[in-house]
Amino acid sequence: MDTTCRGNVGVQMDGDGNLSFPSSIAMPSATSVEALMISKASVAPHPIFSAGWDSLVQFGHHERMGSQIEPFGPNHLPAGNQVTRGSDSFPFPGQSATDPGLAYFGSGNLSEAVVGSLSMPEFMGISDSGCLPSFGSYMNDAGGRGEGIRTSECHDSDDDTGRKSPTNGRTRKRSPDPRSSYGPNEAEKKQKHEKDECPSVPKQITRQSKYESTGEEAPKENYIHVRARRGQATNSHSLAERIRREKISERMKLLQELVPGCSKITGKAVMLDEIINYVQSLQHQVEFLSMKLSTLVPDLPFDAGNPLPMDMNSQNASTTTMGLSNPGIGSFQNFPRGMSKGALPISLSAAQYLSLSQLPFDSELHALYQMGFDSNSADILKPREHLKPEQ
Amino acid sequence: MTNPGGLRSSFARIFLRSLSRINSGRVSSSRGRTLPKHRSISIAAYASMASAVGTRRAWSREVLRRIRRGGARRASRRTSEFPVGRKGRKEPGNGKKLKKEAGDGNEGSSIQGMRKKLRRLVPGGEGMEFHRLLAETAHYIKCLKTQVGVMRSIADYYTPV
Repeated sequence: MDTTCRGNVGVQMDGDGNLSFPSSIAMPSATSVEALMISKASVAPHPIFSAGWDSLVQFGHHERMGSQIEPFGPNHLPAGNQVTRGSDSFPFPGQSATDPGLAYFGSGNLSEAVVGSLSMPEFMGISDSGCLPSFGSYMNDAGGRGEGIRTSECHDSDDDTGRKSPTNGRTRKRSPDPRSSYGPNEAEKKQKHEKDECPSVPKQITRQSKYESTGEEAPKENYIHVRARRGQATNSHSLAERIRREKISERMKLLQELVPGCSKITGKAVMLDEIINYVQSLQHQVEFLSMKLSTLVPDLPFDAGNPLPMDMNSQNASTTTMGLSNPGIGSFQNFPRGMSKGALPISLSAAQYLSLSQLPFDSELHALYQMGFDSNSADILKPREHLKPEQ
Repeated sequence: MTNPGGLRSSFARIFLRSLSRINSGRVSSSRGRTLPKHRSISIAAYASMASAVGTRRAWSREVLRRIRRGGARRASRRTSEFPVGRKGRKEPGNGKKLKKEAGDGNEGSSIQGMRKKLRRLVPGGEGMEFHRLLAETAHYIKCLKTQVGVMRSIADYYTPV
Protein backbone atom coordinates (compact mmCIF):
# COMPACT_ATOMS: atom_id res chain seq x y z
CA MET A 1 0.00 0.00 0.00
CA ASP A 2 2.75 2.34 0.83
CA THR A 3 4.49 1.82 -2.43
CA THR A 4 1.36 2.12 -4.40
CA CYS A 5 0.68 5.42 -2.87
CA ARG A 6 4.03 6.73 -3.80
CA GLY A 7 2.82 9.24 -6.20
CA ASN A 8 0.20 10.53 -3.95
CA VAL A 9 1.79 13.25 -2.05
CA GLY A 10 5.29 12.02 -2.26
CA VAL A 11 5.12 11.28 1.37
CA GLN A 12 5.13 7.58 1.09
CA MET A 13 8.72 7.78 0.18
CA ASP A 14 9.19 9.50 3.35
CA GLY A 15 7.19 6.99 5.23
CA ASP A 16 10.07 4.69 5.60
CA GLY A 17 12.40 7.44 6.48
CA ASN A 18 10.06 8.35 9.18
CA LEU A 19 9.67 4.85 10.33
CA SER A 20 13.10 5.07 11.68
CA PHE A 21 11.75 7.58 14.09
CA PRO A 22 9.18 5.51 15.88
CA SER A 23 11.25 2.41 15.68
CA SER A 24 13.43 3.78 18.35
CA ILE A 25 10.49 3.54 20.66
CA ALA A 26 10.77 0.25 22.42
CA MET A 27 7.39 -0.95 21.44
CA PRO A 28 6.82 -4.13 19.59
CA SER A 29 4.16 -3.05 17.22
CA ALA A 30 5.02 0.58 17.13
CA THR A 31 6.43 0.54 13.66
CA SER A 32 3.37 -0.98 12.18
CA VAL A 33 1.21 1.43 14.04
CA GLU A 34 3.22 4.34 12.87
CA ALA A 35 3.27 3.04 9.35
CA LEU A 36 -0.43 2.72 9.34
CA MET A 37 -0.89 6.09 10.85
CA ILE A 38 1.46 7.62 8.39
CA SER A 39 -0.12 6.03 5.42
CA LYS A 40 -3.51 6.99 6.61
CA ALA A 41 -2.66 10.50 7.44
CA SER A 42 -1.01 10.96 4.14
CA VAL A 43 -4.19 10.14 2.40
CA ALA A 44 -6.48 11.99 4.69
CA PRO A 45 -5.68 15.63 4.19
CA HIS A 46 -6.39 15.79 0.53
CA PRO A 47 -9.75 17.43 0.68
CA ILE A 48 -8.38 20.03 2.95
CA PHE A 49 -5.37 21.02 1.00
CA SER A 50 -6.54 20.42 -2.45
CA ALA A 51 -9.16 23.06 -2.18
CA GLY A 52 -8.02 26.28 -3.63
CA TRP A 53 -4.41 25.43 -4.09
CA ASP A 54 -4.51 26.29 -7.72
CA SER A 55 -5.71 29.74 -7.07
CA LEU A 56 -2.70 30.58 -5.01
CA VAL A 57 -0.32 33.25 -5.92
CA GLN A 58 2.47 31.92 -7.95
CA PHE A 59 5.10 32.26 -5.36
CA GLY A 60 7.89 29.78 -5.57
CA HIS A 61 6.50 26.75 -4.01
CA HIS A 62 2.89 27.52 -3.99
CA GLU A 63 1.89 25.66 -7.00
CA ARG A 64 4.48 23.13 -6.35
CA MET A 65 3.11 22.29 -3.00
CA GLY A 66 -0.44 22.63 -3.94
CA SER A 67 -0.39 20.48 -6.94
CA GLN A 68 1.88 18.07 -5.32
CA ILE A 69 -0.56 17.48 -2.60
CA GLU A 70 -3.49 17.28 -4.87
CA PRO A 71 -4.37 13.85 -5.98
CA PHE A 72 -3.49 13.18 -9.53
CA GLY A 73 -4.39 16.18 -11.50
CA PRO A 74 -5.04 15.78 -15.13
CA ASN A 75 -1.48 16.52 -16.00
CA HIS A 76 0.35 13.80 -14.32
CA LEU A 77 0.83 11.76 -17.42
CA PRO A 78 2.36 14.58 -19.38
CA ALA A 79 4.50 15.24 -16.36
CA GLY A 80 6.04 11.87 -16.78
CA ASN A 81 6.95 12.67 -20.32
CA GLN A 82 8.28 15.97 -19.31
CA VAL A 83 10.57 14.49 -16.79
CA THR A 84 12.07 12.05 -19.17
CA ARG A 85 12.61 14.77 -21.69
CA GLY A 86 14.37 16.77 -19.09
CA SER A 87 16.62 13.94 -18.23
CA ASP A 88 17.67 13.62 -21.81
CA SER A 89 18.82 17.15 -21.81
CA PHE A 90 20.76 16.74 -18.65
CA PRO A 91 24.26 16.85 -20.14
CA PHE A 92 23.58 20.23 -21.57
CA PRO A 93 24.48 22.83 -19.04
CA GLY A 94 23.69 25.90 -20.92
CA GLN A 95 20.01 25.46 -21.10
CA SER A 96 18.33 28.59 -20.14
CA ALA A 97 14.90 29.35 -18.95
CA THR A 98 13.63 28.42 -22.32
CA ASP A 99 14.29 24.85 -21.48
CA PRO A 100 11.02 23.11 -21.99
CA GLY A 101 11.38 21.38 -18.70
CA LEU A 102 11.70 24.61 -16.88
CA ALA A 103 9.07 26.31 -18.86
CA TYR A 104 6.80 23.55 -17.92
CA PHE A 105 7.65 24.17 -14.32
CA GLY A 106 6.96 27.78 -14.66
CA SER A 107 3.54 27.19 -15.95
CA GLY A 108 2.50 26.02 -12.57
CA ASN A 109 2.72 22.34 -13.11
CA LEU A 110 6.03 21.92 -11.48
CA SER A 111 4.72 19.59 -8.92
CA GLU A 112 3.42 17.24 -11.52
CA ALA A 113 6.94 16.83 -12.69
CA VAL A 114 8.00 16.36 -9.14
CA VAL A 115 5.45 13.72 -8.62
CA GLY A 116 6.34 12.16 -11.89
CA SER A 117 9.93 12.02 -10.97
CA LEU A 118 9.18 10.44 -7.69
CA SER A 119 7.54 7.46 -9.18
CA MET A 120 7.11 5.88 -12.51
CA PRO A 121 4.10 6.91 -14.47
CA GLU A 122 2.74 3.46 -14.08
CA PHE A 123 2.99 3.84 -10.36
CA MET A 124 0.75 6.76 -10.54
CA GLY A 125 -1.75 4.72 -12.39
CA ILE A 126 -1.60 2.07 -9.77
CA SER A 127 -1.79 4.44 -6.93
CA ASP A 128 -4.54 6.30 -8.58
CA SER A 129 -6.70 3.29 -8.52
CA GLY A 130 -5.44 1.99 -5.28
CA CYS A 131 -5.41 4.95 -3.07
CA LEU A 132 -8.24 7.09 -4.06
CA PRO A 133 -11.17 4.78 -3.72
CA SER A 134 -10.25 3.77 -0.24
CA PHE A 135 -9.46 7.32 0.56
CA GLY A 136 -12.78 8.51 -0.74
CA SER A 137 -14.77 5.99 1.16
CA TYR A 138 -12.75 6.67 4.22
CA MET A 139 -13.57 10.30 4.16
CA ASN A 140 -17.20 9.50 3.64
CA ASP A 141 -17.21 7.39 6.70
CA ALA A 142 -15.53 10.04 8.68
CA GLY A 143 -18.40 12.26 7.79
CA GLY A 144 -16.19 14.95 6.43
CA ARG A 145 -15.77 16.44 9.77
CA GLY A 146 -14.27 19.83 9.94
CA GLU A 147 -11.26 18.82 11.85
CA GLY A 148 -9.88 16.97 8.93
CA ILE A 149 -6.97 14.92 9.90
CA ARG A 150 -7.56 15.13 13.58
CA THR A 151 -11.02 13.80 13.45
CA SER A 152 -10.31 11.30 10.80
CA GLU A 153 -7.68 9.90 12.99
CA CYS A 154 -10.21 9.75 15.74
CA HIS A 155 -12.51 7.81 13.58
CA ASP A 156 -14.29 5.19 15.50
CA SER A 157 -13.49 1.63 15.14
CA ASP A 158 -16.81 0.14 14.34
CA ASP A 159 -15.68 -0.21 10.79
CA ASP A 160 -12.90 -2.48 11.56
CA THR A 161 -14.38 -5.53 10.04
CA GLY A 162 -14.79 -3.86 6.73
CA ARG A 163 -11.81 -1.65 6.68
CA LYS A 164 -8.66 -3.57 7.02
CA SER A 165 -6.89 -1.28 4.63
CA PRO A 166 -3.88 0.46 6.05
CA THR A 167 -5.48 3.83 5.68
CA ASN A 168 -7.41 3.09 8.79
CA GLY A 169 -4.56 1.65 10.62
CA ARG A 170 -4.84 3.58 13.76
CA THR A 171 -8.34 2.62 14.69
CA ARG A 172 -7.85 -0.87 13.44
CA LYS A 173 -5.00 -1.40 15.72
CA ARG A 174 -6.79 -0.49 18.79
CA SER A 175 -9.63 -2.90 18.74
CA PRO A 176 -7.87 -6.21 18.25
CA ASP A 177 -5.01 -5.31 20.46
CA PRO A 178 -6.72 -4.75 23.73
CA ARG A 179 -8.14 -8.18 23.57
CA SER A 180 -4.93 -9.83 22.65
CA SER A 181 -2.51 -8.03 24.84
CA TYR A 182 -4.49 -6.50 27.54
CA GLY A 183 -2.03 -7.03 30.30
CA PRO A 184 1.40 -5.95 29.16
CA ASN A 185 2.54 -2.47 29.58
CA GLU A 186 3.55 -2.12 26.01
CA ALA A 187 0.06 -2.56 24.75
CA GLU A 188 -1.04 -0.08 27.29
CA LYS A 189 1.50 2.40 26.20
CA LYS A 190 0.72 1.92 22.58
CA GLN A 191 -2.90 2.55 23.15
CA LYS A 192 -2.17 5.61 25.09
CA HIS A 193 0.17 6.68 22.37
CA GLU A 194 -2.55 6.30 19.84
CA LYS A 195 -5.06 7.87 22.01
CA ASP A 196 -3.19 11.02 22.50
CA GLU A 197 -2.95 11.66 18.85
CA CYS A 198 -6.60 12.49 19.12
CA PRO A 199 -6.89 15.45 21.35
CA SER A 200 -10.59 15.64 20.94
CA VAL A 201 -11.10 12.68 23.20
CA PRO A 202 -12.25 13.85 26.56
CA LYS A 203 -10.49 12.54 29.52
CA GLN A 204 -13.56 11.32 31.30
CA ILE A 205 -14.31 8.67 28.82
CA THR A 206 -10.78 7.46 28.87
CA ARG A 207 -10.88 6.93 32.54
CA GLN A 208 -14.14 5.13 32.46
CA SER A 209 -12.92 2.88 29.76
CA LYS A 210 -10.47 1.19 31.95
CA TYR A 211 -13.31 -0.35 33.80
CA GLU A 212 -15.05 -1.58 30.74
CA SER A 213 -13.68 -3.27 27.76
CA THR A 214 -16.40 -2.35 25.37
CA GLY A 215 -15.33 1.10 24.51
CA GLU A 216 -14.86 0.53 20.85
CA GLU A 217 -18.37 0.90 19.74
CA ALA A 218 -18.89 4.42 20.90
CA PRO A 219 -19.25 6.74 17.99
CA LYS A 220 -16.47 9.22 17.44
CA GLU A 221 -14.68 8.29 20.64
CA ASN A 222 -11.54 6.42 21.32
CA TYR A 223 -11.03 4.34 24.34
CA ILE A 224 -7.74 3.49 25.74
CA HIS A 225 -7.54 0.52 27.92
CA VAL A 226 -5.26 1.16 30.74
CA ARG A 227 -4.46 -1.17 33.46
CA ALA A 228 -3.29 0.14 36.76
CA ARG A 229 0.00 -1.31 37.68
CA ARG A 230 0.63 -3.08 40.89
CA GLY A 231 1.23 -0.83 43.83
CA GLN A 232 0.05 2.29 42.11
CA ALA A 233 -2.91 4.43 42.75
CA THR A 234 -5.93 3.54 40.75
CA ASN A 235 -7.49 6.89 41.04
CA SER A 236 -8.57 7.91 37.60
CA HIS A 237 -6.89 11.24 37.82
CA SER A 238 -3.56 9.91 38.81
CA LEU A 239 -3.82 7.19 36.24
CA ALA A 240 -4.37 9.62 33.47
CA GLU A 241 -1.58 11.73 34.76
CA ARG A 242 0.69 8.77 34.89
CA ILE A 243 -0.11 7.97 31.31
CA ARG A 244 0.76 11.47 30.26
CA ARG A 245 3.94 11.46 32.18
CA GLU A 246 4.98 8.23 30.66
CA LYS A 247 4.29 9.44 27.21
CA ILE A 248 6.18 12.58 27.76
CA SER A 249 9.16 10.82 29.21
CA GLU A 250 9.12 8.40 26.33
CA ARG A 251 9.29 11.19 23.84
CA MET A 252 11.92 12.98 25.79
CA LYS A 253 14.03 9.88 25.54
CA LEU A 254 13.57 9.91 21.81
CA LEU A 255 14.56 13.50 21.65
CA GLN A 256 17.59 12.76 23.72
CA GLU A 257 18.81 10.51 21.03
CA LEU A 258 18.19 13.07 18.36
CA VAL A 259 19.84 15.98 20.01
CA PRO A 260 23.56 15.46 20.13
CA GLY A 261 25.23 15.51 23.46
CA CYS A 262 22.17 14.93 25.50
CA SER A 263 22.58 11.36 26.45
CA LYS A 264 23.80 12.16 29.90
CA ILE A 265 21.24 14.73 30.75
CA THR A 266 18.55 13.78 33.13
CA GLY A 267 15.72 16.04 33.93
CA LYS A 268 13.18 17.72 31.84
CA ALA A 269 14.27 21.28 32.32
CA VAL A 270 17.80 20.87 31.11
CA MET A 271 16.68 18.60 28.35
CA LEU A 272 14.07 21.05 27.16
CA ASP A 273 16.61 23.77 27.21
CA GLU A 274 18.97 21.75 25.10
CA ILE A 275 16.24 20.90 22.67
CA ILE A 276 15.26 24.50 22.29
CA ASN A 277 18.81 25.57 21.74
CA TYR A 278 19.34 22.88 19.21
CA VAL A 279 16.25 23.77 17.22
CA GLN A 280 17.25 27.39 17.27
CA SER A 281 20.74 26.61 16.13
CA LEU A 282 19.42 24.46 13.31
CA GLN A 283 17.16 27.23 12.18
CA HIS A 284 20.02 29.67 12.29
CA GLN A 285 22.06 27.32 10.24
CA VAL A 286 19.35 27.20 7.64
CA GLU A 287 19.29 30.96 7.47
CA PHE A 288 22.98 31.11 7.25
CA LEU A 289 23.25 28.52 4.56
CA SER A 290 20.56 30.21 2.58
CA MET A 291 22.55 33.39 2.70
CA LYS A 292 25.57 31.50 1.61
CA LEU A 293 23.69 29.91 -1.21
CA SER A 294 22.27 33.19 -2.33
CA THR A 295 25.71 34.50 -2.99
CA LEU A 296 27.24 31.36 -4.25
CA VAL A 297 25.09 30.62 -7.08
CA PRO A 298 24.80 31.03 -10.32
CA ASP A 299 22.53 28.14 -10.45
CA LEU A 300 22.37 26.80 -13.85
CA PRO A 301 19.04 25.36 -14.67
CA PHE A 302 18.78 22.03 -13.08
CA ASP A 303 17.57 19.06 -14.80
CA ALA A 304 14.50 17.68 -13.17
CA GLY A 305 15.22 14.08 -13.63
CA ASN A 306 18.64 13.88 -12.19
CA PRO A 307 19.58 16.41 -9.64
CA LEU A 308 22.85 16.46 -7.85
CA PRO A 309 23.58 13.18 -6.25
CA MET A 310 23.64 13.08 -2.54
CA ASP A 311 27.29 12.48 -2.12
CA MET A 312 28.08 15.72 -3.68
CA ASN A 313 31.27 16.22 -1.84
CA SER A 314 32.85 13.44 -3.70
CA GLN A 315 31.72 14.72 -7.02
CA ASN A 316 34.10 16.42 -9.25
CA ALA A 317 32.67 19.68 -10.34
CA SER A 318 33.80 19.29 -13.86
CA THR A 319 32.07 16.04 -14.36
CA THR A 320 28.64 17.42 -13.90
CA THR A 321 26.66 19.74 -15.95
CA MET A 322 26.90 22.64 -13.68
CA GLY A 323 29.87 24.03 -15.44
CA LEU A 324 31.27 25.55 -12.35
CA SER A 325 34.58 23.92 -12.46
CA ASN A 326 36.36 27.20 -12.54
CA PRO A 327 37.96 28.25 -9.35
CA GLY A 328 37.48 31.85 -10.09
CA ILE A 329 33.98 32.23 -8.93
CA GLY A 330 34.58 33.95 -5.73
CA SER A 331 36.73 33.98 -2.74
CA PHE A 332 33.93 32.68 -0.70
CA GLN A 333 35.34 31.28 2.41
CA ASN A 334 34.64 27.70 2.92
CA PHE A 335 32.93 27.32 6.17
CA PRO A 336 33.98 25.01 8.90
CA ARG A 337 31.47 22.34 9.48
CA GLY A 338 29.67 22.59 12.68
CA MET A 339 27.69 25.22 14.27
CA SER A 340 30.08 28.11 14.31
CA LYS A 341 29.13 30.81 11.98
CA GLY A 342 32.40 32.61 11.74
CA ALA A 343 33.10 35.50 9.50
CA LEU A 344 31.89 35.62 6.03
CA PRO A 345 34.16 37.66 3.92
CA ILE A 346 33.05 38.15 0.45
CA SER A 347 35.65 39.86 -1.50
CA LEU A 348 35.03 39.38 -5.09
CA SER A 349 37.75 41.11 -6.87
CA ALA A 350 37.31 42.55 -10.27
CA ALA A 351 39.48 39.92 -11.80
CA GLN A 352 37.42 37.15 -10.42
CA TYR A 353 34.30 38.86 -11.44
CA LEU A 354 35.51 39.08 -14.97
CA SER A 355 36.31 35.45 -15.02
CA LEU A 356 32.67 34.76 -14.49
CA SER A 357 31.89 36.12 -17.84
CA GLN A 358 33.84 33.34 -19.38
CA LEU A 359 31.48 30.77 -18.04
CA PRO A 360 29.07 29.36 -20.51
CA PHE A 361 26.18 31.31 -19.20
CA ASP A 362 23.15 32.28 -20.93
CA SER A 363 23.18 35.99 -21.37
CA GLU A 364 20.09 36.37 -19.31
CA LEU A 365 21.55 34.48 -16.43
CA HIS A 366 24.71 36.36 -16.70
CA ALA A 367 22.99 39.66 -16.33
CA LEU A 368 21.02 38.35 -13.43
CA TYR A 369 24.12 37.06 -11.81
CA GLN A 370 25.83 40.37 -12.07
CA MET A 371 22.95 42.16 -10.52
CA GLY A 372 22.56 39.54 -7.89
CA PHE A 373 26.15 39.66 -6.92
CA ASP A 374 26.20 43.35 -6.35
CA SER A 375 23.17 43.42 -4.17
CA ASN A 376 23.93 40.25 -2.33
CA SER A 377 27.40 41.11 -1.36
CA ALA A 378 26.05 44.25 0.16
CA ASP A 379 23.53 42.22 2.04
CA ILE A 380 26.04 39.81 3.34
CA LEU A 381 28.36 42.42 4.63
CA LYS A 382 25.75 43.81 6.90
CA PRO A 383 26.07 42.94 10.54
CA ARG A 384 24.71 39.73 11.73
CA GLU A 385 21.17 40.79 12.17
CA HIS A 386 20.02 38.39 9.56
CA LEU A 387 21.19 35.56 11.65
CA LYS A 388 19.24 36.55 14.64
CA PRO A 389 15.81 35.12 14.85
CA GLU A 390 13.26 37.46 13.55
CA GLN A 391 11.15 37.95 16.55
CA MET B 1 9.45 -1.45 2.65
CA THR B 2 12.67 -0.15 1.27
CA ASN B 3 12.90 3.52 0.74
CA PRO B 4 15.39 4.31 -1.95
CA GLY B 5 14.48 7.97 -2.12
CA GLY B 6 14.04 9.07 1.35
CA LEU B 7 13.43 12.40 2.84
CA ARG B 8 16.83 13.66 1.91
CA SER B 9 16.56 13.19 -1.79
CA SER B 10 12.97 14.33 -1.94
CA PHE B 11 13.95 17.48 -0.21
CA ALA B 12 17.02 17.91 -2.35
CA ARG B 13 15.09 17.48 -5.53
CA ILE B 14 12.45 19.99 -4.64
CA PHE B 15 14.90 22.43 -3.19
CA LEU B 16 17.21 22.32 -6.16
CA ARG B 17 14.37 22.99 -8.48
CA SER B 18 13.25 25.89 -6.43
CA LEU B 19 16.78 27.20 -6.33
CA SER B 20 16.99 27.14 -10.06
CA ARG B 21 13.70 28.92 -10.26
CA ILE B 22 14.82 31.55 -7.88
CA ASN B 23 18.00 32.02 -9.75
CA SER B 24 16.41 32.37 -13.07
CA GLY B 25 14.30 35.03 -11.57
CA ARG B 26 10.94 33.53 -12.11
CA VAL B 27 9.79 33.68 -8.55
CA SER B 28 7.18 36.23 -7.81
CA SER B 29 6.25 37.01 -4.32
CA SER B 30 2.77 37.47 -3.13
CA ARG B 31 3.88 40.55 -1.36
CA GLY B 32 4.31 43.85 -3.00
CA ARG B 33 8.00 44.08 -2.55
CA THR B 34 10.52 41.59 -3.72
CA LEU B 35 12.19 39.47 -1.19
CA PRO B 36 15.90 39.55 -0.82
CA LYS B 37 17.39 36.53 -2.32
CA HIS B 38 18.61 34.89 0.82
CA ARG B 39 15.20 35.27 2.32
CA SER B 40 13.52 33.64 -0.59
CA ILE B 41 16.05 30.85 -0.54
CA SER B 42 15.44 30.31 3.12
CA ILE B 43 11.72 30.18 2.58
CA ALA B 44 12.24 27.88 -0.33
CA ALA B 45 14.20 25.60 1.94
CA TYR B 46 11.43 25.36 4.49
CA ALA B 47 8.82 25.02 1.85
CA SER B 48 10.73 22.29 0.10
CA MET B 49 11.14 20.43 3.31
CA ALA B 50 7.49 20.76 4.13
CA SER B 51 6.61 19.58 0.65
CA ALA B 52 8.91 16.64 0.95
CA VAL B 53 7.36 15.65 4.22
CA GLY B 54 3.89 16.23 2.97
CA THR B 55 0.95 16.89 5.15
CA ARG B 56 1.14 14.11 7.58
CA ARG B 57 3.00 16.06 10.16
CA ALA B 58 1.47 18.94 11.99
CA TRP B 59 4.49 21.12 11.56
CA SER B 60 4.71 20.58 7.84
CA ARG B 61 1.06 21.35 7.47
CA GLU B 62 1.60 24.51 9.39
CA VAL B 63 4.52 25.55 7.23
CA LEU B 64 2.56 24.89 4.08
CA ARG B 65 -0.31 26.82 5.48
CA ARG B 66 1.86 29.78 6.25
CA ILE B 67 3.45 29.84 2.87
CA ARG B 68 0.10 29.47 1.28
CA ARG B 69 -1.02 32.55 3.09
CA GLY B 70 1.95 34.34 1.66
CA GLY B 71 3.37 35.26 5.01
CA ALA B 72 6.78 34.94 3.53
CA ARG B 73 8.66 36.53 6.31
CA ARG B 74 7.11 34.37 8.94
CA ALA B 75 6.98 31.24 6.97
CA SER B 76 10.19 30.00 8.30
CA ARG B 77 9.59 30.21 11.96
CA ARG B 78 6.99 31.97 13.86
CA THR B 79 3.52 31.03 14.76
CA SER B 80 2.47 34.27 16.24
CA GLU B 81 0.89 35.56 13.07
CA PHE B 82 -1.71 32.95 12.87
CA PRO B 83 -4.60 32.46 15.18
CA VAL B 84 -3.86 29.89 17.75
CA GLY B 85 -5.99 26.86 17.69
CA ARG B 86 -7.29 27.67 14.30
CA LYS B 87 -8.54 24.19 13.77
CA GLY B 88 -10.23 24.02 17.09
CA ARG B 89 -7.53 22.07 18.78
CA LYS B 90 -7.68 21.21 22.37
CA GLU B 91 -6.28 23.85 24.65
CA PRO B 92 -2.67 23.34 25.56
CA GLY B 93 -3.40 24.67 29.01
CA ASN B 94 -4.83 21.33 29.88
CA GLY B 95 -1.59 19.59 29.37
CA LYS B 96 0.38 22.25 31.11
CA LYS B 97 -1.73 22.08 34.18
CA LEU B 98 -1.15 18.42 34.62
CA LYS B 99 2.50 18.77 33.98
CA LYS B 100 3.17 21.05 36.86
CA GLU B 101 4.53 18.27 38.90
CA ALA B 102 5.75 18.81 42.37
CA GLY B 103 9.06 17.24 41.50
CA ASP B 104 9.97 20.16 39.31
CA GLY B 105 11.34 22.57 41.81
CA ASN B 106 12.84 24.36 38.91
CA GLU B 107 10.72 27.39 39.00
CA GLY B 108 13.58 29.61 38.06
CA SER B 109 14.16 28.12 34.67
CA SER B 110 10.47 27.81 34.23
CA ILE B 111 9.56 24.67 32.46
CA GLN B 112 6.39 26.26 31.34
CA GLY B 113 8.32 29.09 29.83
CA MET B 114 10.44 26.63 27.96
CA ARG B 115 7.43 24.80 26.74
CA LYS B 116 6.03 27.99 25.39
CA LYS B 117 9.27 28.68 23.70
CA LEU B 118 9.33 25.30 22.11
CA ARG B 119 5.81 25.74 20.93
CA ARG B 120 6.80 28.91 19.26
CA LEU B 121 9.82 27.37 17.67
CA VAL B 122 8.18 24.39 16.17
CA PRO B 123 5.64 25.42 13.58
CA GLY B 124 2.17 24.42 14.50
CA GLY B 125 3.16 23.74 18.02
CA GLU B 126 0.67 26.05 19.58
CA GLY B 127 -2.38 23.95 19.55
CA MET B 128 -1.29 20.57 20.70
CA GLU B 129 -0.58 18.80 23.89
CA PHE B 130 2.89 18.60 25.15
CA HIS B 131 3.69 15.05 24.31
CA ARG B 132 2.40 15.61 20.84
CA LEU B 133 4.59 18.64 20.65
CA LEU B 134 7.57 16.54 21.61
CA ALA B 135 6.87 14.08 18.87
CA GLU B 136 6.53 16.87 16.34
CA THR B 137 9.72 18.39 17.62
CA ALA B 138 11.56 15.15 17.14
CA HIS B 139 10.44 14.86 13.57
CA TYR B 140 11.11 18.51 12.98
CA ILE B 141 14.63 18.18 14.26
CA LYS B 142 15.24 15.23 12.05
CA CYS B 143 14.01 17.11 9.02
CA LEU B 144 15.96 20.21 9.92
CA LYS B 145 19.08 18.12 10.13
CA THR B 146 18.58 16.73 6.67
CA GLN B 147 17.74 20.17 5.41
CA VAL B 148 20.91 21.65 6.80
CA GLY B 149 22.91 18.75 5.49
CA VAL B 150 21.59 19.08 1.97
CA MET B 151 22.01 22.82 1.92
CA ARG B 152 25.50 22.53 3.19
CA SER B 153 26.32 19.97 0.55
CA ILE B 154 24.95 22.22 -2.13
CA ALA B 155 26.89 25.15 -0.82
CA ASP B 156 30.04 23.12 -0.61
CA TYR B 157 29.48 21.93 -4.08
CA TYR B 158 29.38 25.42 -5.38
CA THR B 159 32.26 26.82 -3.45
CA PRO B 160 35.48 26.81 -5.33
CA VAL B 161 37.65 23.94 -4.43
